[in-house]
Amino acid sequence: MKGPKMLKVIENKPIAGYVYSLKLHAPELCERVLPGQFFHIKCGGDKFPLLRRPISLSYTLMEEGCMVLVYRVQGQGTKNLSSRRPGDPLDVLGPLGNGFEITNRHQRVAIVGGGIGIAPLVELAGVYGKRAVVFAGFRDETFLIEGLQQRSPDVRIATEDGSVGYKGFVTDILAQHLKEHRFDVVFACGPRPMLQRVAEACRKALVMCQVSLEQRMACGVGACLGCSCAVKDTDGSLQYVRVCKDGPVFWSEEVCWDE
Amino acid sequence: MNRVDMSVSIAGLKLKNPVMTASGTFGFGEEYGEFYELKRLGAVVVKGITLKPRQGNPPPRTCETPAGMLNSVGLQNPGVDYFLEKELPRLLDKGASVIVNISGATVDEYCAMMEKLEPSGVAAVELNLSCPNVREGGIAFGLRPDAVYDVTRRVKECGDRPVIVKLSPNVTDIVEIASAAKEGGGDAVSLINTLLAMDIDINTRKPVLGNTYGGLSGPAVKPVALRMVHQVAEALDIPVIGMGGILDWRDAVQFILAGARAVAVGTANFVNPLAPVDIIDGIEKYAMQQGFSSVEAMVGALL
Repeated sequence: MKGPKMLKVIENKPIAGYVYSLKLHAPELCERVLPGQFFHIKCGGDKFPLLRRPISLSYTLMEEGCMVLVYRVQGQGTKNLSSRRPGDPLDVLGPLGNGFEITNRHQRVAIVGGGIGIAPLVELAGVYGKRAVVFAGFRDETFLIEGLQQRSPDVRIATEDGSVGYKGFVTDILAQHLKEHRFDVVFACGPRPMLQRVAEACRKALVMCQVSLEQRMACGVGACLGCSCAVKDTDGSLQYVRVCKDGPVFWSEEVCWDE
Repeated sequence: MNRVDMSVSIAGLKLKNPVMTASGTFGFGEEYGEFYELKRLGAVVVKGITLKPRQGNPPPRTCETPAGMLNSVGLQNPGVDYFLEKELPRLLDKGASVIVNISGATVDEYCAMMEKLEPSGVAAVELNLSCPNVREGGIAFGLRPDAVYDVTRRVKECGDRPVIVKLSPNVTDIVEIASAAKEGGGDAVSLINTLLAMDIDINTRKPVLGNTYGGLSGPAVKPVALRMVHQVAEALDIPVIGMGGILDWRDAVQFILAGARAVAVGTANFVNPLAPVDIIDGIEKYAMQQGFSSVEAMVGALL
């Protein structure tokens, strides 16, 4: 039966301000995990912090039997996680949730990430390679750019302070690109206001869009109904679904963005 | 060493061991049933159900607090009819002993649900008189002894299934409330439900939970729960199912020593999906080491 696994930390290093790259030895999970899925991690402390923290797969390193999770230090849980050293065991549950819906019919895709939301898109960039255009947005400091470029050469960068690439929001360059180019699907992950703008741009361009949502989670497996988000049912009525089990990836059309 | 008799009798039920799941933390068993066989548990207490489906409260519904968490799920559930048709048969197929937690806005709603559940294969019904998150969640009953007495008595008249009354800790005198449940004919009491609580984000200057208030659970509430279990077990002759912050077998043993005949594991499921089965094993080892021949001999064995 499945259960939490103790994985060995291979590396846990800062790659930008408050952003860490955690490499774990997990050959068996590498084979199974899909882009967009997440792991529920006991970040340390017996009773405080109490709950696990959901962190998405960033990318796998098959030849090393390792997977890399990239996270931002946000609160006590991720702060504790950042103090783990190589060789330490880590209590990991997963992979959990549904990944992105990937099909061979997609000949040309856009992958859009904002901030730490770029992390869950790296493996996906590897799946689509040259068929993808990647749009990566940052406030100032960039990260994971090399990893993206290795997997998918066409990476467009936006920074809010203009230090790298286009000065402004990543959604601006996406919207412009959508006017001139045809995509079969758009994949997006990032802060909710950004996702909402991506969804709106896709709606105007008549392109289907998958978004990976974030929500505070308790169980991570679908039992507690704590991480619900509002979606539109087929009859148009609002209903709550579980980000952990029914998502975290949803079609942007389903999501009730104003809830 | 001889094996320990792990079975317990409670509310007319013979359970194979004293460990249950706490309502609202375990769904309808589907998710955690992927981690271990549900029939290993003393009983599965399912997510609270209502007469009609409920969509629940707006998010965010959870947040972590020191050594605990808040939730304001708000009884999101598919309703009693869906439960009976779709969820219960699957649980019974797995060999689980099923206790159904029910909430109502009126006494009639509790009775209507009891009547629907009576002919099914459920082992017992747990009356939720204590959900802090919705007005229809029974708390209107759980805070007043006369109302606890009335709803318990009326539900008992609607069927023969054992009735467990789940009590709120948000009261002045827990013994008075438990006593009302006993007088009303309740076969056992579950305590405690969550403590009404809130958290505030100082950056947004807003409550963290979409519902403003939520229920506090986890290790933070354990000392309160232990005290209440002890008070009720000392004062009254009614079986107590103890819960509130049980993370591991040591916590469970504390509740049993305080007088609980069974325990329920809630928030711990979120931390360790195997917590209930680890706790069963741990209680057995402790009983063996301490020379108890049975779990029942441990109940209230506080010196």
